[in-house]
Amino acid sequence: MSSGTTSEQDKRALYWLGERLIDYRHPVMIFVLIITAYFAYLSFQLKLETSFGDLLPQSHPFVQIHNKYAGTFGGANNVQLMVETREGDIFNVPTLVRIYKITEEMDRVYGVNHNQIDSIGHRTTRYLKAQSGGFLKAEPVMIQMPKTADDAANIKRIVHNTESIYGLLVSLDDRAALVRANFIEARLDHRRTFTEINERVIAPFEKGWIGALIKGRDALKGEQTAPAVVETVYRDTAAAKAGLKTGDTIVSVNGKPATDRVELAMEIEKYQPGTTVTLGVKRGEATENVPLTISEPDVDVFVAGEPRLYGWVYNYASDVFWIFTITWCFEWVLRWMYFHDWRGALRPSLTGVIAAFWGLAFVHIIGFTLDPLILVMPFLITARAVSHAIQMHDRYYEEFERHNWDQRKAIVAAFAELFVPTFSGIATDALGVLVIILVPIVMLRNLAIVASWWILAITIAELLLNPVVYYYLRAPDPEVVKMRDKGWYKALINRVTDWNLSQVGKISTMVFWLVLAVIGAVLMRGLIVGDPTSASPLVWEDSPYNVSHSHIQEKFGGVEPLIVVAEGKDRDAMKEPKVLRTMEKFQRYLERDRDIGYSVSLTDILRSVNMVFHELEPKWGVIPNTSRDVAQTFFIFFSGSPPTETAKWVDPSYTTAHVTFFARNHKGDNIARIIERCREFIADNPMKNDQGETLAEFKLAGGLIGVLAAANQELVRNDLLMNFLGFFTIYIIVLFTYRSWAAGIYLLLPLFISNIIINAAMAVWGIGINVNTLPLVTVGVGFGIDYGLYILSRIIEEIRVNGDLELSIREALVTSGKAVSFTAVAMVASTALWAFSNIRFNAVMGGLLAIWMFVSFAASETLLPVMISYFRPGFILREAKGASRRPVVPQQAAAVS
Amino acid sequence: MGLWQSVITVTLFSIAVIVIDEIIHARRRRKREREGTARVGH
Repeated sequence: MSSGTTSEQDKRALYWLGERLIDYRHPVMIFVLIITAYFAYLSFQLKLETSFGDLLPQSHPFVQIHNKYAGTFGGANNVQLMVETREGDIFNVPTLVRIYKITEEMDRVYGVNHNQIDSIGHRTTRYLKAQSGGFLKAEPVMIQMPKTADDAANIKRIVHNTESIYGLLVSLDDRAALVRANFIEARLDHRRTFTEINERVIAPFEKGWIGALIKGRDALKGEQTAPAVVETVYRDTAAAKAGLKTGDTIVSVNGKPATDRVELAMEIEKYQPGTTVTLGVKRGEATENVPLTISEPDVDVFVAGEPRLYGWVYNYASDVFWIFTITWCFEWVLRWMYFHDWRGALRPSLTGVIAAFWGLAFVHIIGFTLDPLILVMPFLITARAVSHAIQMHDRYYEEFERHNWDQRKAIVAAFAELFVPTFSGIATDALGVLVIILVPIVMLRNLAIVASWWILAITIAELLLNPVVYYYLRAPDPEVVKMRDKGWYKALINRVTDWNLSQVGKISTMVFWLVLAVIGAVLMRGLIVGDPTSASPLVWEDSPYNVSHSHIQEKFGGVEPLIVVAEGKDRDAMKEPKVLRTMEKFQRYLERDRDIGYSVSLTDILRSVNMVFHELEPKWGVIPNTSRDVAQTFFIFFSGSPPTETAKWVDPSYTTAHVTFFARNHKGDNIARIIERCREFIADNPMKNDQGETLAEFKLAGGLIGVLAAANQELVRNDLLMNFLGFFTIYIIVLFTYRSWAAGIYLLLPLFISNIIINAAMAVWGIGINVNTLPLVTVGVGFGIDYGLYILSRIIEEIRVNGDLELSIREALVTSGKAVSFTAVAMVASTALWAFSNIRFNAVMGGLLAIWMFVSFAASETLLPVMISYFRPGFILREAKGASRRPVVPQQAAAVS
Repeated sequence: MGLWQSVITVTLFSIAVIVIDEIIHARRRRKREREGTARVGH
């Protein structure tokens, strides 16, 4: 039997190659096994990591500004921690002490920028204090922990009188305080940050709080543990009721050792409020058992921000293992039921595993890491490898029966006949993914290279090793092969095929897909670039992260920074009243946007200091008129502060400063609007002196909003181009495979409709195009074509034998179409289980890809044959001419076997 | 569930499927052989 559009000569070569692979099976097997074993070793060395910089388009001007100033004015990796009281305000000693300690612990978390922590408990948060003799001095709000109610009342007074604190670091209802910390990008370690914040920053002061201040580690001896010594016991708390005293050392909780504050807190928080635990307390030399009834926490701690979000994502990343396990077992059962033979279950797994080791090792060799957010991608590629193997296995059984149970002939025939569609499928998949390389985002470029290689690695297992493995495995029982062609599944395929190819079926199919495409085209207009919701789409809406995020947003208006840099032409440019007034005007202008919560800049300090300097008269809350007065005002506030502290407002030479806006969310369309408004303001308000010389210029844009704007802009710029190139690449491969201009149109039309439907589904379900969704969506384009390739190749193969188009279509659908339908079921099953992942993004993408695979399959199985039947394309009909003359098996191959 | 737990589970599951399949087919073969012998005996 001959197939595809390969010439007689090509086919002979493929039969020859199949024979040689079997002849040289031992060296081929040893060669592949040695390399695969080495690659397997490398695969297990692979790390799960996200490099924030890799997610950004580094050549974009916004990102360049972000990179330039992230170290001084703050980057995109901010953690916001909110301490909220359940009753009363925060201005009492135990709560303020905890805010102070939380700030202190946050300052010790790995990777934090020590000069970019904002909290009333941090040394860099200052207020202006009038001293005797009329001197003004900027002092930290909490120079030490408050000890008395008077201390707490004094802090309350300071907060209420300081414009840059009240409403920004303490909520207007006095019930919540914000601790904002910026992390250094190069030192981001999401897992470590997540764990340290949980154990050291949250646990001891929220659910692990017993009402006593427990001594922590020495700041200068960070690696040493410090025993849990009670420093202070607060009134009317669990610790006070239990009779704990200053100087007690808590050594155990219910017999479990607690060597320091963290272990004590982690142990305490395991118990429900109301539970009585026994503390092992060392007093002097003796150790006593002290019963302590755990009380309800009086404060809640909420943490949000990108590093925290990725921490949660890493925390959930182990989902991949149970999903993999269930998928593997389910797929084995499915294949076993389909083939009635364990070889049918094993062989596709071998292809998947070998390709996975080759792919993962490549990731390791070129120094990349795996992002937990693209874990669906390896699954999808492996599922693709498995589905190619299912096609091959099905064909092997078919050829086994056709060749009168001659195993060697069947192996060679299956290899030669499926070589072209399999290789074309792999090539379209690999090149389809490679177009992602166009987006100038490092992570996407890496992904494009890795995924392409991984897909190409399928050829090793599927084409090179396949005949060898079959030859090693004992041939199946003829009974098993025959069983495969019986039963309800075959009957169903026959019935659906008959209906689909009937007159009514053909019309219904065309109308159905047309209507679906039109509905899809209407709905897909709602598709947006960027995130479509204010909550993070990476995790579920009711996840701890999104709950924290929305709580903080509610209390403080906005927490996601957009940093606009004011770059002066000369030193002292930031002392020019004209520049400062424009910055202030910019703040008021953009604050009118509904999605901007508030803003901060140098001008806020200036106005505030000027007012304090003038007896707190509100009318003096303005920017001074001369640069000399401005300089004096700055001197009052910044004198005595080291440059590292003042640098978060203005550089030491007063050349560059910033205006930071805090947005309420990072929805794609909101970001686009905010950036557009910034551009309008900047264009209308040049910072020039009276002579028309430029004093300073605003530069967009750093912070999370700035870099997301850059990524979204790059995605918009490249999305259409990538879609076009994806389809074009597939078209070119199909052109060479079938040597026909029309073949590509027949195969791409079902794919195009599938693409419309998936885009519509994304719009309806609120999934935006972003750096995470883009690669998965692009991969779907390439993968969808494979079903059509197998069916079209089989139609051509059949028409070369029987010369009748309708008969060939029917035969293709009940043979290759049957295997295609089964591979589609397998693919859908592989990706659908992701719907149960704790990572919403993976769940949604898994579900979406499952639908994509199903829609592509359904369109290839129904629309493609109907179109071929209706339009009777010449590139297929021309193959019918030699039908009677062509031999079933090429002469040379037959002679060899 | 960790990496190695997952690997061990899928390996054991696959071996179980292979063993069950072999047992089923061995029974079928024996049954066929018995039926074949019986027919010859007639």
